Amino acid sequence: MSDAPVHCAVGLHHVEQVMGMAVSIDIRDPDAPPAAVDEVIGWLHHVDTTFSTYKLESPISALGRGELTFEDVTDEVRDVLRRCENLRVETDGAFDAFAVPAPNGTTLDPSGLVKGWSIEESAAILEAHGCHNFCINAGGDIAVRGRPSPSEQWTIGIRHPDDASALALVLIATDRFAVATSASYERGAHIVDPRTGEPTTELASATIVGPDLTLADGYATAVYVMGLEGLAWIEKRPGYDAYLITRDNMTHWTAGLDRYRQIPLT
Amino acid sequence: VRINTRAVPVLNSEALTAQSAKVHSVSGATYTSNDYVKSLQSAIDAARASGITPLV
Repeated sequence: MSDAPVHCAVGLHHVEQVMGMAVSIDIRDPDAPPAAVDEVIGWLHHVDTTFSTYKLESPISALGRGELTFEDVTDEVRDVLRRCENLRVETDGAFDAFAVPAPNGTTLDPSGLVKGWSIEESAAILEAHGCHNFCINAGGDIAVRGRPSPSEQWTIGIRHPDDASALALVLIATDRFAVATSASYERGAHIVDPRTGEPTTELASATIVGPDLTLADGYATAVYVMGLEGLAWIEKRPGYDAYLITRDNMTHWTAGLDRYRQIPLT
Repeated sequence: VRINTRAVPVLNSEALTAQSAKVHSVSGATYTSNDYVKSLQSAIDAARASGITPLV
Protein backbone atom coordinates (compact mmCIF):
# COMPACT_ATOMS: atom_id res chain seq x y z
CA MET A 1 0.00 0.00 0.00
CA SER A 2 2.78 2.41 0.87
CA ASP A 3 6.32 2.75 2.09
CA ALA A 4 7.00 2.43 5.79
CA PRO A 5 7.18 5.71 7.70
CA VAL A 6 10.67 7.21 7.79
CA HIS A 7 12.31 7.27 11.21
CA CYS A 8 13.77 10.73 11.66
CA ALA A 9 16.23 12.08 14.19
CA VAL A 10 13.12 12.85 16.22
CA GLY A 11 9.76 11.26 15.47
CA LEU A 12 8.32 9.91 12.24
CA HIS A 13 7.59 11.32 8.81
CA HIS A 14 5.52 9.92 5.98
CA VAL A 15 3.91 11.12 2.75
CA GLU A 16 0.94 9.11 1.47
CA GLN A 17 -0.60 9.56 -1.98
CA VAL A 18 -4.32 9.15 -1.38
CA MET A 19 -7.56 10.92 -2.35
CA GLY A 20 -5.75 12.25 -5.43
CA MET A 21 -3.27 14.25 -3.37
CA ALA A 22 -0.28 14.02 -1.08
CA VAL A 23 -0.88 13.77 2.67
CA SER A 24 2.21 14.68 4.70
CA ILE A 25 2.39 13.37 8.26
CA ASP A 26 5.13 14.88 10.44
CA ILE A 27 5.22 13.55 14.03
CA ARG A 28 7.76 15.02 16.45
CA ASP A 29 7.09 12.87 19.53
CA PRO A 30 10.38 10.97 20.05
CA ASP A 31 8.59 7.70 20.89
CA ALA A 32 5.89 7.88 18.18
CA PRO A 33 4.89 4.30 17.21
CA PRO A 34 4.89 3.44 13.48
CA ALA A 35 1.52 1.72 14.07
CA ALA A 36 0.02 5.19 14.54
CA VAL A 37 1.01 6.19 11.00
CA ASP A 38 -0.16 2.83 9.62
CA GLU A 39 -3.60 3.32 11.15
CA VAL A 40 -3.91 6.82 9.68
CA ILE A 41 -2.92 5.52 6.23
CA GLY A 42 -5.54 2.77 6.43
CA TRP A 43 -8.14 5.31 7.55
CA LEU A 44 -7.40 7.71 4.68
CA HIS A 45 -7.74 4.93 2.10
CA HIS A 46 -11.03 3.92 3.71
CA VAL A 47 -12.26 7.53 3.39
CA ASP A 48 -11.16 7.59 -0.26
CA THR A 49 -13.01 4.34 -1.02
CA THR A 50 -16.16 5.57 0.71
CA PHE A 51 -16.36 9.25 -0.22
CA SER A 52 -14.52 9.63 -3.54
CA THR A 53 -16.51 11.44 -6.22
CA TYR A 54 -13.93 10.23 -8.75
CA LYS A 55 -14.61 6.53 -8.07
CA LEU A 56 -17.89 5.57 -9.73
CA GLU A 57 -18.22 2.54 -7.43
CA SER A 58 -17.97 4.52 -4.16
CA PRO A 59 -21.03 4.67 -1.89
CA ILE A 60 -21.12 8.46 -2.30
CA SER A 61 -21.26 8.10 -6.11
CA ALA A 62 -24.04 5.52 -5.83
CA LEU A 63 -25.90 7.84 -3.46
CA GLY A 64 -25.46 10.73 -5.91
CA ARG A 65 -26.94 8.62 -8.72
CA GLY A 66 -29.88 7.66 -6.55
CA GLU A 67 -28.96 3.96 -6.49
CA LEU A 68 -28.61 4.16 -2.71
CA THR A 69 -30.75 6.17 -0.32
CA PHE A 70 -29.88 7.93 2.93
CA GLU A 71 -31.22 4.84 4.75
CA ASP A 72 -28.93 2.46 2.82
CA VAL A 73 -25.61 4.01 3.74
CA THR A 74 -23.47 3.61 6.87
CA ASP A 75 -23.76 5.80 9.96
CA GLU A 76 -20.41 7.29 8.99
CA VAL A 77 -21.72 8.49 5.60
CA ARG A 78 -24.91 9.78 7.21
CA ASP A 79 -22.86 11.66 9.81
CA VAL A 80 -20.80 13.38 7.11
CA LEU A 81 -23.91 14.30 5.11
CA ARG A 82 -25.52 15.72 8.25
CA ARG A 83 -22.43 17.85 8.82
CA CYS A 84 -22.69 19.03 5.20
CA GLU A 85 -26.35 19.92 5.68
CA ASN A 86 -25.59 21.82 8.90
CA LEU A 87 -22.87 23.74 7.07
CA ARG A 88 -25.21 24.51 4.16
CA VAL A 89 -27.68 26.07 6.60
CA GLU A 90 -24.96 27.89 8.55
CA THR A 91 -23.48 29.40 5.34
CA ASP A 92 -26.87 30.21 3.83
CA GLY A 93 -26.02 28.00 0.86
CA ALA A 94 -22.52 29.31 0.11
CA PHE A 95 -21.34 25.79 1.00
CA ASP A 96 -23.70 23.26 -0.55
CA ALA A 97 -22.56 19.66 -1.01
CA PHE A 98 -25.89 18.83 -2.62
CA ALA A 99 -25.92 21.33 -5.48
CA VAL A 100 -22.47 21.45 -7.06
CA PRO A 101 -21.26 19.54 -10.13
CA ALA A 102 -19.19 16.53 -9.03
CA PRO A 103 -16.57 14.67 -11.10
CA ASN A 104 -18.83 11.58 -11.19
CA GLY A 105 -21.53 13.54 -13.05
CA THR A 106 -23.84 13.89 -10.04
CA THR A 107 -24.57 16.96 -7.93
CA LEU A 108 -23.60 15.36 -4.61
CA ASP A 109 -20.06 16.35 -3.60
CA PRO A 110 -19.12 16.47 0.09
CA SER A 111 -15.39 16.78 -0.77
CA GLY A 112 -15.26 20.35 0.58
CA LEU A 113 -15.81 18.96 4.06
CA VAL A 114 -14.55 15.37 3.81
CA LYS A 115 -10.89 16.31 3.45
CA GLY A 116 -10.82 18.43 6.59
CA TRP A 117 -12.93 15.94 8.49
CA SER A 118 -10.70 13.00 7.53
CA ILE A 119 -7.60 14.86 8.71
CA GLU A 120 -9.24 15.92 11.97
CA GLU A 121 -10.08 12.23 12.52
CA SER A 122 -6.49 11.33 11.60
CA ALA A 123 -5.28 13.69 14.31
CA ALA A 124 -7.52 11.88 16.80
CA ILE A 125 -5.99 8.55 15.73
CA LEU A 126 -2.47 9.86 16.34
CA GLU A 127 -3.50 11.23 19.74
CA ALA A 128 -4.98 7.85 20.67
CA HIS A 129 -1.52 6.39 19.97
CA GLY A 130 0.05 8.86 22.41
CA CYS A 131 1.25 11.40 19.83
CA HIS A 132 0.81 15.02 20.90
CA ASN A 133 3.17 16.96 18.64
CA PHE A 134 2.49 16.66 14.92
CA CYS A 135 1.49 18.41 11.71
CA ILE A 136 -0.66 16.78 9.03
CA ASN A 137 -0.94 18.51 5.64
CA ALA A 138 -3.53 17.11 3.24
CA GLY A 139 -3.10 18.85 -0.09
CA GLY A 140 -2.70 22.23 1.59
CA ASP A 141 -5.17 21.82 4.46
CA ILE A 142 -3.36 21.52 7.76
CA ALA A 143 -4.01 20.29 11.30
CA VAL A 144 -1.34 20.67 13.98
CA ARG A 145 -0.97 19.68 17.61
CA GLY A 146 1.65 20.71 20.13
CA ARG A 147 5.04 21.88 18.92
CA PRO A 148 7.76 20.81 16.45
CA SER A 149 10.26 20.89 19.33
CA PRO A 150 10.05 22.07 22.95
CA SER A 151 11.53 25.46 22.02
CA GLU A 152 9.60 26.08 18.77
CA GLN A 153 6.08 26.63 17.50
CA TRP A 154 4.75 25.27 14.22
CA THR A 155 4.98 27.83 11.41
CA ILE A 156 2.60 27.65 8.45
CA GLY A 157 3.15 29.46 5.14
CA ILE A 158 0.22 30.59 3.00
CA ARG A 159 0.97 30.14 -0.70
CA HIS A 160 1.16 33.22 -2.90
CA PRO A 161 -1.62 33.01 -5.49
CA ASP A 162 0.65 33.96 -8.40
CA ASP A 163 3.80 32.05 -7.43
CA ALA A 164 3.86 28.48 -6.17
CA SER A 165 7.35 29.03 -4.74
CA ALA A 166 6.46 32.14 -2.73
CA LEU A 167 4.49 32.69 0.45
CA ALA A 168 2.00 35.51 1.00
CA LEU A 169 2.01 35.15 4.77
CA VAL A 170 3.51 33.10 7.58
CA LEU A 171 1.42 32.13 10.59
CA ILE A 172 2.60 30.87 13.97
CA ALA A 173 0.35 28.05 15.11
CA THR A 174 -0.97 27.54 18.60
CA ASP A 175 -1.70 24.05 19.92
CA ARG A 176 -4.74 22.50 18.17
CA PHE A 177 -4.62 24.73 15.13
CA ALA A 178 -6.10 24.23 11.69
CA VAL A 179 -5.50 26.07 8.40
CA ALA A 180 -7.54 25.55 5.22
CA THR A 181 -7.23 27.42 1.93
CA SER A 182 -9.64 27.51 -1.01
CA ALA A 183 -8.22 29.07 -4.14
CA SER A 184 -8.24 29.21 -7.89
CA TYR A 185 -4.64 29.98 -8.83
CA GLU A 186 -5.11 29.76 -12.53
CA ARG A 187 -7.03 32.78 -13.74
CA GLY A 188 -9.94 30.69 -14.94
CA ALA A 189 -12.31 30.30 -12.01
CA HIS A 190 -13.34 26.76 -11.19
CA ILE A 191 -15.19 27.14 -7.90
CA VAL A 192 -18.89 27.55 -8.57
CA ASP A 193 -21.23 29.53 -6.35
CA PRO A 194 -23.92 26.94 -5.50
CA ARG A 195 -26.46 29.75 -5.05
CA THR A 196 -26.13 30.98 -8.64
CA GLY A 197 -24.33 28.23 -10.56
CA GLU A 198 -21.83 30.86 -11.70
CA PRO A 199 -18.06 30.80 -11.15
CA THR A 200 -16.77 33.00 -8.35
CA THR A 201 -14.52 35.87 -9.43
CA GLU A 202 -13.70 38.13 -6.48
CA LEU A 203 -11.04 36.18 -4.56
CA ALA A 204 -7.79 34.53 -5.57
CA SER A 205 -7.65 32.65 -2.26
CA ALA A 206 -9.48 32.35 1.04
CA THR A 207 -7.62 31.01 4.07
CA ILE A 208 -9.44 30.12 7.28
CA VAL A 209 -7.71 29.38 10.59
CA GLY A 210 -9.27 28.02 13.76
CA PRO A 211 -9.33 25.07 16.13
CA ASP A 212 -11.07 22.46 13.94
CA LEU A 213 -10.12 21.50 10.38
CA THR A 214 -13.54 20.04 9.52
CA LEU A 215 -15.12 23.47 9.97
CA ALA A 216 -12.11 25.42 8.67
CA ASP A 217 -12.21 23.41 5.42
CA GLY A 218 -15.93 23.97 4.92
CA TYR A 219 -15.68 27.62 5.95
CA ALA A 220 -12.85 28.18 3.45
CA THR A 221 -15.04 26.91 0.61
CA ALA A 222 -17.97 29.04 1.78
CA VAL A 223 -15.94 32.22 2.31
CA TYR A 224 -14.24 31.82 -1.06
CA VAL A 225 -17.74 31.86 -2.56
CA MET A 226 -18.92 34.75 -0.35
CA GLY A 227 -15.97 36.94 -1.31
CA LEU A 228 -15.03 39.91 0.89
CA GLU A 229 -18.44 39.70 2.57
CA GLY A 230 -17.12 36.52 4.12
CA LEU A 231 -14.94 38.56 6.51
CA ALA A 232 -17.96 39.84 8.44
CA TRP A 233 -19.42 36.33 8.39
CA ILE A 234 -16.27 34.73 9.85
CA GLU A 235 -16.10 37.42 12.56
CA LYS A 236 -19.30 35.91 13.97
CA ARG A 237 -17.63 32.49 14.36
CA PRO A 238 -15.69 32.49 17.67
CA GLY A 239 -12.16 31.12 17.28
CA TYR A 240 -12.08 31.38 13.46
CA ASP A 241 -10.29 33.98 11.38
CA ALA A 242 -9.88 34.67 7.68
CA TYR A 243 -7.10 35.91 5.39
CA LEU A 244 -8.34 36.77 1.90
CA ILE A 245 -6.42 37.71 -1.26
CA THR A 246 -8.45 39.32 -4.03
CA ARG A 247 -7.85 38.83 -7.75
CA ASP A 248 -6.09 42.21 -7.80
CA ASN A 249 -3.66 40.97 -5.14
CA MET A 250 -4.95 42.97 -2.19
CA THR A 251 -5.16 41.29 1.20
CA HIS A 252 -7.94 41.52 3.76
CA TRP A 253 -8.16 39.82 7.11
CA THR A 254 -10.13 39.59 10.32
CA ALA A 255 -8.67 41.39 13.33
CA GLY A 256 -8.11 38.13 15.20
CA LEU A 257 -5.65 36.89 12.60
CA ASP A 258 -3.01 39.33 13.83
CA ARG A 259 -2.22 37.19 16.85
CA TYR A 260 -0.88 34.43 14.58
CA ARG A 261 1.27 36.63 12.37
CA GLN A 262 5.00 36.16 12.34
CA ILE A 263 5.67 39.60 10.93
CA PRO A 264 3.94 42.45 12.80
CA LEU A 265 1.65 44.75 10.88
CA THR A 266 2.88 48.19 9.99
CA VAL B 1 -17.59 44.94 15.15
CA ARG B 2 -13.94 43.97 14.84
CA ILE B 3 -13.82 43.61 11.08
CA ASN B 4 -10.51 44.58 9.65
CA THR B 5 -10.70 45.34 5.96
CA ARG B 6 -7.39 47.08 5.58
CA ALA B 7 -6.13 46.29 2.15
CA VAL B 8 -2.43 45.69 1.64
CA PRO B 9 -0.85 44.63 -1.63
CA VAL B 10 0.24 41.04 -1.22
CA LEU B 11 3.49 41.67 -3.06
CA ASN B 12 4.51 44.63 -0.93
CA SER B 13 5.25 44.53 2.80
CA GLU B 14 4.08 40.97 3.28
CA ALA B 15 5.77 39.29 0.39
CA LEU B 16 7.86 36.46 1.72
CA THR B 17 9.86 34.12 -0.39
CA ALA B 18 10.50 30.55 0.54
CA GLN B 19 14.15 31.42 1.05
CA SER B 20 13.41 34.04 3.69
CA ALA B 21 10.87 32.07 5.68
CA LYS B 22 11.40 28.90 7.65
CA VAL B 23 8.08 27.13 7.64
CA HIS B 24 7.09 23.62 8.63
CA SER B 25 4.14 23.35 6.23
CA VAL B 26 2.41 25.24 3.44
CA SER B 27 -1.32 25.88 3.02
CA GLY B 28 -2.78 26.40 -0.44
CA ALA B 29 -5.46 25.10 -2.74
CA THR B 30 -5.52 21.32 -3.04
CA TYR B 31 -2.33 20.01 -4.54
CA THR B 32 -3.01 17.24 -6.95
CA SER B 33 -0.46 14.45 -6.78
CA ASN B 34 1.18 15.98 -9.88
CA ASP B 35 1.31 19.51 -8.47
CA TYR B 36 2.75 18.18 -5.24
CA VAL B 37 5.98 17.06 -6.91
CA LYS B 38 6.76 20.71 -7.75
CA SER B 39 5.40 22.23 -4.55
CA LEU B 40 7.12 23.86 -1.61
CA GLN B 41 5.49 21.22 0.57
CA SER B 42 7.33 18.44 -1.27
CA ALA B 43 10.64 20.24 -0.67
CA ILE B 44 9.75 20.55 3.01
CA ASP B 45 8.89 16.84 3.15
CA ALA B 46 12.13 15.87 1.43
CA ALA B 47 14.14 17.89 3.92
CA ARG B 48 12.30 16.43 6.88
CA ALA B 49 12.68 12.88 5.58
CA SER B 50 16.42 13.39 5.26
CA GLY B 51 16.60 14.57 8.85
CA ILE B 52 17.28 18.23 8.15
CA THR B 53 15.55 20.76 10.40
CA PRO B 54 14.64 23.60 10.33
CA LEU B 55 13.06 23.22 6.98
CA VAL B 56 13.16 25.06 3.66
